[in-house]
Formats: sequence, C-alpha cells, structure tokens
Amino acid sequence: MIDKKNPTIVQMIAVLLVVAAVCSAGVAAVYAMTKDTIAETNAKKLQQSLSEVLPEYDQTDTLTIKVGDDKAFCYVAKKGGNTVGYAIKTSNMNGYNGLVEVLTGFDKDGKIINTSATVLNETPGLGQKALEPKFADQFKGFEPSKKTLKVKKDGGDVDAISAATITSRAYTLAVQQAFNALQSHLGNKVDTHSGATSSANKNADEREIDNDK
Amino acid sequence: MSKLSILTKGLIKENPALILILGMCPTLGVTSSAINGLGMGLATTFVILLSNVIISIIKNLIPDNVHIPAYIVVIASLVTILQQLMAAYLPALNESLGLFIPLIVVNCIVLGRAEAFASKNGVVDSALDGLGMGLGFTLALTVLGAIREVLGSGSIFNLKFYEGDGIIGFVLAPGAFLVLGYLVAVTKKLSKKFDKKEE
Repeated sequence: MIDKKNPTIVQMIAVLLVVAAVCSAGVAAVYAMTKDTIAETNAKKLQQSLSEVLPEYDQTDTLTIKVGDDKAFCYVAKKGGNTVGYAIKTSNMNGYNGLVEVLTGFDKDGKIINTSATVLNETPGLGQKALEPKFADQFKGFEPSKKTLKVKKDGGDVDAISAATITSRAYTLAVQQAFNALQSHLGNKVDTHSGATSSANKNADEREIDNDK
Repeated sequence: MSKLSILTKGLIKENPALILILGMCPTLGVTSSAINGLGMGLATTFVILLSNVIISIIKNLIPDNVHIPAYIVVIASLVTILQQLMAAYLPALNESLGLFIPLIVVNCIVLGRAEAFASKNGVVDSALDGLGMGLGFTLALTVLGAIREVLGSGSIFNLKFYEGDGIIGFVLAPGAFLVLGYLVAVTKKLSKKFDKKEE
C-alpha cells in the first residue's frame, strides 16, 4: 500500500500518473458527449445571425477575403443561383474588453442590410447597449459609399452610444472592415458568377471613382 | 460539529467571499448583474462540491508530497468538464462569464476547501461543506450583483424597472469595491451576532 508520509519516488509517480489518466478519461468522455451539441448550438447561432443580416436565401458559399493583414470570413448568399447578398464576419481587439466580432450583411449593391454582433463582451449597461436598436439600427440601410462609417466624434455619420465611445468605435470599425473586405472582394475577383455579381462589381468600381473625387 | 452546521457555516459565519475574503477575482469581476453573479456562483458550487467529494474519497491514496498537484489535476479536470457542459447547454451564460469559468481552477476557495476540509473529513461531511461553501459564495455574488444591477442599470435579473440610465459607477469596477466593502461590513456584524447566540 502507499505510504502517505514517506512515499518512494515510484509511488509518487504512479499516483500522479493514475490521477492524471483518470481525469483525462473523464474530460475526454464529457468532450465526446457534448461535442455534437456544441457544434449544433454554434451552427444554430450562426444561422440565426445570418438570417438577421441577409435577405432571403436558399444557400450560402463561404470564402475568406484577405485585406492587408486582416482576414474576413464571407458568406455569399444565393437564391436560385443568383447572388442576393453578402454577410461578412470581421473582428478587432478595440473593444473595451478586447475582441468585438460583427457580422455585417450587405445586399448585392453594397448597401448594409443589418449588422449582428457575434462576440460582444462589453460592460453591461454601457458598451453592451450596442445590441440595442438605438445604436444597432443605425446600420440598417446604411450606404457606406455615401456616408462615412465612423462615429460622429471622429467626423463620421454614426451616433455613438453615450459614455461608450470605445465600444461604438470598435463596432463601427468592424463594419468598416467588412465593407473594405467586400470592396476588395468585388473589385479584385475574376467574375465567375452570375449577372448579379457583375452588376455589383460595376457598382463597386463606380463607387471607387466617386471616392476618388 | 453537526451536519447542519457544516452545511450552513458557509452561508454567513464562514462565508468564503465576505468573511474569508477568498475568490475576489470573480467576486469583483463578474458581478455587474445579478444573473452573472448567480451563474458564476452555481458554476463554482458545482466544482467545489465535486472536488470535495472526489478528494475526500482519494485522500488516503495520495502521498502528502504530491497532494497539491494531484488535487489541482482533479480540480482542473472538473472545470474543463464544467466548461464543456456550459458551452453545450448554457451557451449564453458561458459567453457572458467568458474567461472567469476556466479561472475557477485557480479560485482559492476550491483548493482551500480541499486542503482545509476534504483532505481531513469523510465523504458526506465534505459534500455538505462543499455545497455550503458554494452556496455561500453564490449568495454573496448574487446579492452583490443584484445591488450593482439595481443601482447601475435600473434592472434586476435583466427585468428593467426604471427607464433611462442608472448610476454607471456601480456597473464599473469602483462600484464593485464599494458594494463589496459594505457587504463585508454587514456580514461581519451579522456573523458576530450569530456567535453571541451560540455562546
């Protein structure tokens, strides 16, 4: 039996080995048990966010857009084979508590349909108010080509949440990142898609010229 | 010590957060709303209860020289299991508590009860002690969260009863310290009263 006061080195190693093995087995068992539920929960959440920010669609293609060092994950929504919109997930670490991740939905002309925060862990009662309609609904129908995606304090057209400018800036920046990604996607891509994409492509080009003026 | 007093001593007399002043990191960090405090408290209760039971079962098989690493492995595994369960069945709470769930591993209360109680007592007593301490911690966090939420956001358990903004300071860190200070004072007073009664 094991001597509690004066164990030999072999006993100590054996005990730790057994404890570690049993504990790992327990963790592995629970992992196997919950894996499917976690994946399901995440998928459901993504579907929910996508349906909030996109027009009606029957399938989505996914692709990754690179803008400089940033990567954005893009869901191209299609209905009957035509592209009807884009949902772009972007994130930055500028929130009051770090990571802010926003899913921004665009129609095929680059107008914002809606936004949905997928990660937002800001202060309750302050930054967390970004989820409330007063702030979030500003982005509905926002046209980044005509207006500036910045808070008013920084010379833009977005009303910041009072006393939570940092969160407002981070959220707005994420939307701006999504718009940049969309522009670079539409601007650079070789057109392999339907007419809808190419017309959006043209719009994107026009917009760039507008911006240059 | 009677079974009942093992269970109830954690609530006021030896309340881990308000009398022993242990586990201050989640106490100050997550209590910006009552529901967060309650969730964090119950999550910690789950870990203390199970770790106390397991450790009191295996205590005679662990050599003294390696008991801390052995206990920590048990506690860390329990926390990992808890996190997986929460991600699967309570995703919203898991998200709002965020990093504080894995940090239960280093919560002094858990290892403290393992060392001070479970490694010297039987399974039933250890389970009662773990449950009592956990519920005491839950009580402290919920009350703290509720006070901060009422004053800071004008709501309780996310039910808004006052339109408009609350006193923002109470949602932020200074409010946590302030309310905690008053709670500690009140609890000390209460626990002294209980002591006198027992004498």
